[in-house]
Order: sequence, then structure tokens, then C-alpha cells
Amino acid sequence: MNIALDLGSTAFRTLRRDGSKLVARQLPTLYLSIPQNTPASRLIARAGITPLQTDGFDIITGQDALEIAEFLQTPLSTFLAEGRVPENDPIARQLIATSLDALIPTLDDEPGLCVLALPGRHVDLSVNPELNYFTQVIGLKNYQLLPLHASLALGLAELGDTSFTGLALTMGASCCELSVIRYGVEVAYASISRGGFWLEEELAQTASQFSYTRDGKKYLDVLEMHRWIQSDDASLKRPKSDMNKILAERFQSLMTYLIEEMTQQLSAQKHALAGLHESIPLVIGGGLSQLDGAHQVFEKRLGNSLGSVGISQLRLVSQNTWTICRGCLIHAELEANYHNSLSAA
Amino acid sequence: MIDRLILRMRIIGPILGLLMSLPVGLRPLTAQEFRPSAQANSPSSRPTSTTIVMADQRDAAMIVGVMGAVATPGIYQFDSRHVTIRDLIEKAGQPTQTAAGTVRVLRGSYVNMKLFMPSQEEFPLEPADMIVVESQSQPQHRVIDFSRLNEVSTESKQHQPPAETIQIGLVNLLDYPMLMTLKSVDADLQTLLVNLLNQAPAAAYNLKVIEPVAKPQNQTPGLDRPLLDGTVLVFDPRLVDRERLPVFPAPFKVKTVAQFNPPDGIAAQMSSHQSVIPSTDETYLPMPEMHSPAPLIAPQNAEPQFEYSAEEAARTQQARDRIVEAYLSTQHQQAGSETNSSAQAYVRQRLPGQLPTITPSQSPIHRNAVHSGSNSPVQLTHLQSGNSEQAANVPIDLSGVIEQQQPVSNVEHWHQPQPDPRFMSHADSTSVATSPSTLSRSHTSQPQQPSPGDISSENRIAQLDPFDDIQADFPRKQFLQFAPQTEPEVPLPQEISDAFPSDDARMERVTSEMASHKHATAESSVSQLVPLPTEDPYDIHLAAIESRTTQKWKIAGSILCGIVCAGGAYAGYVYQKRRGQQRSSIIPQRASSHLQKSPQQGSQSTSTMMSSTFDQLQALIEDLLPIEEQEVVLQSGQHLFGHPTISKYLRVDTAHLDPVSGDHELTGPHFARKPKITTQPEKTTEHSRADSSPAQETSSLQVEMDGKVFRTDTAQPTPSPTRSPSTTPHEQQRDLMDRVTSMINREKRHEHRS
Repeated sequence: MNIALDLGSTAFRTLRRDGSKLVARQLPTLYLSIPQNTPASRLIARAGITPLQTDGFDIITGQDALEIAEFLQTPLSTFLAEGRVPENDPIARQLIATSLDALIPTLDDEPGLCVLALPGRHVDLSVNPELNYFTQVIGLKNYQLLPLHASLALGLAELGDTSFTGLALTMGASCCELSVIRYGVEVAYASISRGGFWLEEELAQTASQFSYTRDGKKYLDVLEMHRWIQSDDASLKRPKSDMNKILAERFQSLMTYLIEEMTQQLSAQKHALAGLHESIPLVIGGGLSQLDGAHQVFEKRLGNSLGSVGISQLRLVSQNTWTICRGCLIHAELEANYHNSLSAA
Repeated sequence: MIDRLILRMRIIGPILGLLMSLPVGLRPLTAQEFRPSAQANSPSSRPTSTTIVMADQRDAAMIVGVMGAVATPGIYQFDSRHVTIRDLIEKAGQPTQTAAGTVRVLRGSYVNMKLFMPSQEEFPLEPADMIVVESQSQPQHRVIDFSRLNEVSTESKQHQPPAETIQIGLVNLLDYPMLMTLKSVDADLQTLLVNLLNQAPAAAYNLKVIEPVAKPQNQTPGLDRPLLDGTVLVFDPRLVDRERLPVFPAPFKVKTVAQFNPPDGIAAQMSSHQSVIPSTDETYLPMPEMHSPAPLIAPQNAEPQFEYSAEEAARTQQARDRIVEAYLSTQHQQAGSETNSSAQAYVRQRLPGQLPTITPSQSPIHRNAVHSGSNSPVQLTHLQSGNSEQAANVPIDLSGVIEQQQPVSNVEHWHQPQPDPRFMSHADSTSVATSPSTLSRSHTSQPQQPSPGDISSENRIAQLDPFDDIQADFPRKQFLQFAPQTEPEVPLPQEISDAFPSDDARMERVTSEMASHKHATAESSVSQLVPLPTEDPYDIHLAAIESRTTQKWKIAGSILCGIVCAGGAYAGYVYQKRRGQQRSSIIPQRASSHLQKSPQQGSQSTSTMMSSTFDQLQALIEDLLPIEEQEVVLQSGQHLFGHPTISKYLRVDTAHLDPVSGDHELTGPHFARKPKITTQPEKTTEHSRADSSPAQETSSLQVEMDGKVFRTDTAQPTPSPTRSPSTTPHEQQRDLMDRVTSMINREKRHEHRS
């Protein structure tokens, strides 16, 4: 059995095929740590929430963490700080392993293939230091790990009608990635380290959206900004309010930086793009692509080309949580069929 | 949406209830409310019949266990709460040559962590921890070779001759872990539970068996399950019948030389024991009851004689009189003066002339006492129910009569019952070594049994601890002695009484069966431990009538179910037949097309499988397959290792600056250029506050990025003495009520937007 694993900065998701249907699982990757034997911990216990426990702290994960963090005005922590597996956070590392253990079923008979979309920007996946960690954790479930860029997975999921040829751009929470795909093979890759988190922090900084913890520590209230961006009030088309003006300005800044950086990175890979003479479609996915008015901004700023690659069509992925996972699963099925055909021959 | 609303109400509801329960505003929590909830709910903290509640529990006994590849595995009691793995292993005589370098820590019933030595030897231990020093000869856990995906191997243990004795760890059986060494031929769960521990077989159904091999740990074992060497059994403390447990040896105490002055009688034993465990700065005190069970029943001439001052004696006498008067006032309401006098005589006979010295309990086997340090006030409170309730509510301040410096062996050991001879036969030095102090048992003299003329242990215990005796005996005596006299019943004929036994007869039968079950010996089989209920003939007659009445309906229901099942089977057959016809019309066409592509891949079944796979892959690419989302919840109550790093990239105060480089945590991948951070004290005016607050001198940071300057000030401005404490909105939000109000307002705003 093959499985797809999307390690996003906001949620871990898995997808596998069970007969003629797909079985999906997801877990939010935010957690809240509250000292034990405090009024807050007792209130949580009275609310019927059973937290995970560590040395002196109660750990709350999932949707409960979002609710309680807003109520107690406590900053949240993520499993993957800035898209990376934290080296000095043992709780986060154990939570990653626990989440993967809950998400991935164990194979008893023969090993399967797990295609993983790594979070964050990774130019060379083979030398990724976090790959060893995920190999060990997922290997305990009897799977062979195959890493993948999230942008390549997006292209495999949305470019089936063009023989898996085109540009795929993901605008995730921690980074933006671009893959140039030709017949299902990634020939060029570019990325920047700005994404949804950067935009939320910028908005919170500019709007002075601060909050204070119970012990008086000051922190950016990006959670409120995140909710506002996902609401219907946030729009790029009609920047009437001050917040919408700031949002439009920051988004334009992000697009400028993205185009400059990716053009520069693609120009450094001209030899890989030599076979692309025709314009190819561009697929854009991710959380930031769902903003109201983002399609017009992309059309206006990108035009007909991105660097030396011509764009024939601009597609925005409809809001589908499982697009990256589906691309990973397609890759896993193709690889499995390839190996089966080799073994049959 | 409804789920979120319910969750929010679950959080907000208790808080509002808590706030409304407060009489006037917010008040500080009392010390009782500050007790951890987990500790309050634990079985050990539940109020028992007699509970001594101390003010300070920081000096509670630190009893931990070690087993596996160490020189002297056993249970150790430290006089300090700061004990690490290295300390414990040093006390256990260092690891043996077969130690694998890993240590497994078992804490309670939910922690099973593996640590590596010596890198993690400073791991702090908690009371009742059990550590297992793994050896190289033990089978390793499951190993998956990723380079050879077709082979998933498990390194099995080499064929070795079975050891004669094995070590078994017991967790949650008592308040501290236990260690037993069993013969390998007797090492199964039934022998251990029923024969050795005198427990009912039902105790195995919630038992967690942690074996050294990689197996599911939470499975329910069978009673005939053999136990491996190094297995740890984690009991459910709710299912353990402690009264039926045999007497275990006390933990092995570890004291420093400066604090311990050994009596003359055991100095030689200490010297011999030190030869076993060489140590330069510490000695090991074998518990006296380990090699001399006789003091469990105190000899008559060994009763401690304490000298009380006149004030202490008067206070003691006054306290005892208060108990007697409170109890007799209760008796007076239910019986006449004659019975009152007899009860008074009984109470005065039971109460000793002098209260004995109460020393801190070193062995929590039969005392629910937690002692504090010296000179701490001790309050003894009855929590019993029944007729002596008034006496129970009389607090007695025994701080004046308690002597903390008394030796350990005068009172505590007398409360322990006589060790079970069956267990002692297993616990002999040849077969069972439940503690390192067994080493000293083999070369020490056997204890002197009490002479027949001595006072019995029960009466001795009654004299020494009057409160237990009062609550245990008086309600029963009162019931038997002062039971209301009713008219004698007319005896029924023998045939009727045999056919329909009276309630008293059935009560006696049940009582006798319960007593036989209570005192079931270890040789009794499992079936004898569970008394079989006997049915009443009248009940059998009623059941027969009822069964005849409902039999017709059951037959009718069976016929109806059979008809429905037959119809369903026929419908399924028809559906499968039609589907097979449709499939047979599709399969040849695709199979032929596939065979044209690869004629060497032969059979029709393979081609149908491949075509099915291709169809599903095509449906997956075209996003036509339905997605079924399964809910995943992390296992609650799981214990994680380590401390969380509270500081995250979202916080911008000075506490999150790197002290070495001075970089801000926001300088991660989110920023293309590293911002320049300048720290300078400046006169800042709070722009966000509209009031004319005075300028404050705060240490602020300026982060320059993209040509713009972002200022991040310190955590919280220093409150000015001239400013009212409730002028700023952030300070107002400190109060819980304000936060709740803001939360509700925020919810309303969100709902209004949606």
C-alpha cells in the first residue's frame, strides 16, 4: 500500500487509496504548553480536555490549542518552526513522531511507498538533514520514504491534462516554491522564504497587533491576523479599509520579491530549461492564492512569462486541502507501477 | 460551527461558574485548591479511615527500584528527593559487564522511556520509579533494514539455556516498585498473581506487561503467559487488594555516614554488607525487619517507655477523654445507660494509658502516613463514618508528643503483620531475592519468634493504635450488642425451609463463601476463588414460566429473521450475477488492448488487475475518487519527555534575543536580509495610549528592514506610581473577568462578520 504525506506548516495530512475511494487524515501542527498545577491547567481539566503531559507542562494540540490560546492569550507553538524540524525542541520532535504514528497506518506484510512533501524550502532534497529523521520515523511503519517538493506534487495533481508539463507555484505558510515540470519530471526549482506567516507578521507589525501573555510578555498576535486574512473582509480587489490597503501593499511587495528571486534562480538553471520552447500553463496553489483578487494580481504581475519560461495559461487551484497529498499519491502510484512492471519483466 | 461553539461553552461555562461561585470578586486560591488535581484523584491520596495529613510533603520517602544488569538490583530508599539514574546505579553496585548502555525508565503506568548511558545519566528520578538496566544478552527491539525492503527482520535472541531465576519488576502494587526473583519454571502470571501475590485472577485483566522484546505492550495477557527475565508488570492500583498481599521486605535504605549511627547489634552486619557494595562515603542500612521478622510482633518487654512531661501527659489525657466522651455521647442516643457503661468500659480498656510515640512511616505498607520534617505540626484527623463520626471530627494536636528522633524500629514494624510463610518460602535466599538486603539475610541469625505467653499481635496493635481499633471493632460490636430485639419467628417445616431458604440463611451462606474467598489459600484453584452463586428455586420457576411465554415470540422472530436473511442473500446473488455479466463484457476489450501493448505479460487475471489499477490511477489523476476523511486524535494522557521551549518566533520581546549573537528570532527564513538590531535606552512615549502618560525610560529595540524601522519595546512597561493601575487596556485585561468579557465580545464580532 502506498501513502502520501503532506507535512505542511499548519497541518500534517495523509492520503491513501482504499479500493475505489481515498482515505484522508489530518492533524493541526500547533500546540500549546501550559505549566501544570496552575489555574489555567485546572480550568482546562475542568473543561474536559485531556492534554498530553510532559515534565511540568500540559501540552494541548489541535483545535483545542487554537481555542485555548485565544482565550488564555498564550502564544502558540508549531511542530515545524519555520518549516524545519526544530533541533532544540524535544516536545515538538516527539509531537511530530506521535502525529506521524497516528496518521500513518502500520504495514504488516510488505513495505509500502510513502511520498513525502517536505515543508520549507529545500533546494536539494537528498542532502536534507531532516530527511534522516523522517526516514527513521516513517520507516518504523514499514514504508520506504520518497521526498518530493510540494510544488512538484501540485503539478502532478493539476497538470494531468497537459501530460504533467507546466509550472507549479505553491504559496504556502512558510515559503513559496516553484517547479518547472516536464512530463512529470522536475527540471528546475526555485523558492523564497516568504509566505503566509511572513504576511501575517508584517500585518501584525504594521497594525501593532500585539498581545500580552499572562506573565506580561509581549508577542505578535498573528493568530488574529490569520483569522482576518481567511475571512471575507480581507480582499485585494477593493482596498477600502486601512487593513486592506496594508494587505494589498504587502502582497504586492511579496509578489515583487517572488518574481525577482525566482527569475534570478531560474536564469541560473538555463541549461535545464533549454528544452522548453513553448509556453506552458502555470498552476498556483496554497493558502495565499485563495485571497480575494489574487487572480487579478497574478495576471497583472506575471504577464506572459516568468523568467525565460513562457506562460500559456494561468490556473488557480480551487480550495482543496488535499491537492498536495493527491499529487504525492499520484507520484507514489506511478512509482509503484513502474517497479511492478520492472519486477514483472 | 456547532462543535466549536460547544467547545467554547465547555471552556467558558466552568469559568463563569467558578466566577459566580466566588462570594466577592476574585480571591486568591487556598492551599488546598493549589493541590494538583492528579494527586487529588490518585488512589493513594483518597481519604482513608485514618489519615495523617502533614503540612509539608517535600521530605516524603524517595523509593526507587533498579533491576537488570546491575550488581545488586533491588528497591532503594533515599533520604533526598534529588536522585538521578547515576546515583541509583552507583548504589546498586554499578552496571555489570553485560550492560548494554541503555536504561528503561518506568514511571507510574504511562511512562516507558529509553535513555542512553552515560549521556543521560543525570536524568532525575521521581518517587516510585523503576529503571531497568538493559543487558546485551536481552533481545533487541524490532529492526527494519531499509536497504532491503523485502526483508523485515527482528533480531531474535540467540538460543541460550534458560536462566534458573528471572527478575520480575512490579509497579503500582504498592506505593513503591517491587522486585522479585522467581524460578524460571514457576514464572507465569497465574503463579505470580494467585499463588505468590494472593490476588484474584481478575487483576490480570488490566495488567500491563512490559517485556524486553518488541511486542504490543497493552495487550491483555493470559494467565498462563510465561514471564521473561526483565519483565515489568504494571498493575492497576484500583484492582490490587493490598490486604491480601504478602509482606514484602522494606526498601533498602541509603543514608550517609554523618546522619546515621548504627546500633551496636547491626554494626557487624553493616560491615559485612559494605564488603559487598564498596563505598567510601556512604553506608547501607539493612532494614531490621529484613533479617529479623520477629519485631513485626513486638515482644511484651520491648514496649517503649516514654517519659512525658506533666503538660504533655495532661494534654494527651485530655485528648483521649474527648474521644471517649464524643463516642459515648453517640452511644447514649441509641442505647441505655447500662450499655453506655459497658461501652465506656470497653473504650477505656482499649485506650492505652500512654499514647505511643508516632514516628514517620518508613514503610507505607499499612500506614497511610506522610511525614514532614522535624518540628512540623502534625494533625491527626478521623475521617471514618458511622457511629463514631463525632469522635472522628475531634482534631488532636499531637505536635507536642511526637518525637521525630526516635529510632525507626519501635512502632512501625509492629504494625506489619506476620509475613506469609508461603511467600517466605519463595522468598528464601535460594529462590526469591526481593531486595538487595537479601544478601545480608543469608548470613544473619534467624529472628526469635514470640513466646506463647506473649500478648497476641492483634491486641498489641490495638493497644498501640487505638484509632484503627475503634473504627474497626466498635461499629460491629455495637451492631451485635445493641441490635433491636424482635419477636421470635415461628419455625417453618423442614421441607419448606429447605426449598425456600430464608434471607438469614442465604446471608450466612454468602458470608461464609465470602470469608472462604477472603481467606482462600494459595493452593486453591482459580475456580475456588470465585464463588458460584446458587439460584433460588422460586426464581427458577419464574424463569421457566417467562421462558415459556416468550418462546413463541422467539420462534416467530427467528422465522422472520431467516426469511429476511434469505431474501438478502438472494438479492446479493442476483446483484453479483448481473455485475459479473457487465464485467465480463468490459474485461475482454481492455485485456486485449493491454495484451497488445505487452503480450509477454500473459494471463487474463493479471491484465484485469492492471486495467483496474490504470482506471483507478486515471480516476486519481482526474480527481474523481471520493475522499473519506477520518478523524485522528492524539492519544490523550500520553507523557512526553523534555521541557517545551516557550519562546517562539512569534514573540518579539527582549527575552527572545540570542544572548551570544544578539540576533532576533524573527531573522529566520522569513526575512531575506538580516535586520540590524540596535539596543539603546531612550525616552519613549506610548503612542498607543491616548492619555497623557508620563514618558518612561525603557530599553527598546529598533529593527531596520526594507528601509523601515520597527520598534519592539520591552515586555511590559514599568507601571508608574502616579498612574492608576487600571488606566491602560492591557493592564485591565490582566484580570480574568476582563479577559472573559473580551473573549465574549470577540466572539460576537466574529459572528457578526460571518
